[in-house]
Amino acid sequence: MTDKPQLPAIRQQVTELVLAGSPEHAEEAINDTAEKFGDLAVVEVLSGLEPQVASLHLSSFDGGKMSLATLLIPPQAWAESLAYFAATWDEDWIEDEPEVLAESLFAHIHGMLFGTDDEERRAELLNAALATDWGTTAFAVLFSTAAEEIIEIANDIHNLGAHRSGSTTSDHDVIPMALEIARTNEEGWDRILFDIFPDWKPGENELHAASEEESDDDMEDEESRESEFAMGRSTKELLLRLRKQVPSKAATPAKKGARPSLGEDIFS
Amino acid sequence: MNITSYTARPPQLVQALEALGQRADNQQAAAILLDELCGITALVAKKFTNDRTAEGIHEAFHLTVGCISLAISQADIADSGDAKLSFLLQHGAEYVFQMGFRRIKDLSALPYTTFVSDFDNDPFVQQRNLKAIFMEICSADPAATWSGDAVYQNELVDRQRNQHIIACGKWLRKHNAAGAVRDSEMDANAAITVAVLFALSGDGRIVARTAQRELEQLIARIRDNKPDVDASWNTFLEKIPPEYQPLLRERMEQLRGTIVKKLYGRSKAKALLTDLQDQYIGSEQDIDYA
Repeated sequence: MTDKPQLPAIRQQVTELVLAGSPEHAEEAINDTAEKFGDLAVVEVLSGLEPQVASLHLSSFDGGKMSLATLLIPPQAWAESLAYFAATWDEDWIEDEPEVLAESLFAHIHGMLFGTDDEERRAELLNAALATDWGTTAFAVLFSTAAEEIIEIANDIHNLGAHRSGSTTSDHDVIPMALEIARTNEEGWDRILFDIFPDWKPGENELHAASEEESDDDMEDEESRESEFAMGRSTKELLLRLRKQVPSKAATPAKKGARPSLGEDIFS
Repeated sequence: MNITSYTARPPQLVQALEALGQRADNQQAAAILLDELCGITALVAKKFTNDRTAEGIHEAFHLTVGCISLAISQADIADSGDAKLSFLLQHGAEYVFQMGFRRIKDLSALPYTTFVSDFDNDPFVQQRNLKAIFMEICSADPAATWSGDAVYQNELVDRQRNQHIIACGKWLRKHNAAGAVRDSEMDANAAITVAVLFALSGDGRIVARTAQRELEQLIARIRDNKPDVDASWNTFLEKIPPEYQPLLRERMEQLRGTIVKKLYGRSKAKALLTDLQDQYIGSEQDIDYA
């Protein structure tokens, strides 16, 4: 690849356009870059974007609209940007409409993974995402929307192994994704399950989905059940968990000469 | 000295920042200062205003500017923007804020009136008073002039005086001739007036609390014997520690032209008693007629 001094300028332009709330124009700039300098240049631009900017850009192109960025962003950069996906959710929102948020997260991740036909890239994307805590939680959110089916698959995989299971009774959207993960990254699959069902000890207790309708008055019941079943986290809990993992501050190196903060002691 | 030009000027922090703008190579110091000021504002909003509304943050911003400005104004430094900036940079904004806030806390611990009440030791009331005085003095709009430092000075002088009066009242109570007065509430000014008036009898007794019968006796004795005012008071003052003497002398001069004149004059005893109760010593006079 030849030296392209324009790339930092393009990166800057894309960043500014995205932050200004105009992802269409940013996408246009990316397309222009692809035409003029080729796909590799775009890859370089995308890999240099700040993760929160990349996240903002990608999240405005999921579902119906595809972005060139979706196809070309390096897996590592995508995994990092995923941490910021939940940044715009507020707690009331999570409380009121967890389904909508889970849906948008699904649209994004599904678009990323299955937008490409390149199986190698798909595996790389999966591995990069599953190498992070927030990526694992993000998948856990998706699976928790179809907890019953996931339990079925989990038991199958536990009993038969990932490559021999696959047929389920359900046609839920997340199933192909779950199978894909179980086949490409077994360790990642285990960690996702652990994220949803922290109490599961295979062979000792059975998985049980968290249901939203449960009333509080069968608390006694719950305790006896807990020993038998490993209760899952609900979608809502997992969304909150994901929200909490959003880095609260862009990582900036500590300023030279800044003194340690007194914190609340300024009132002492 | 022209007071207006002395007080009507931007908050000290703004003066320091203007000096920072003049300095060469100020980027790093400015960045650190900005970080520190933002952090302080967030903490102030959390503790005193509201860190969830724009209005609360805005108020906290003004309080931060004012509290740092107060600390700078009370520091022993030259009155120039550059000196203020050096002071600020040398200590760091957080420590300077802490200095200002400690001054406010000390001020808030001083009595607001000369009336001692049970509520003074209530932590809720103390916290409320602290917040009130903090808001009153330290709210500084960086775009406008600020006179919180002058307000602080006046308030400090006032409250120190109040504290002195209360200390004097307590001393008088403790040395009350008929035994120390035990009561958690006290109107210190009234206690001092009682003592000064009873000193007129000339026997040098210290009386910090009274009842109507004693007042009647006092009036009768003054009318019968006409004791010399200054001689009586001097006898009384000899028993008083020197730190309270100026305060008592001052009170004597205030009373000499008013109620003392009436005591020695021809006013009816009943009218005098009403007058005393309403205007001078009402809260230090026992209600029972015994």
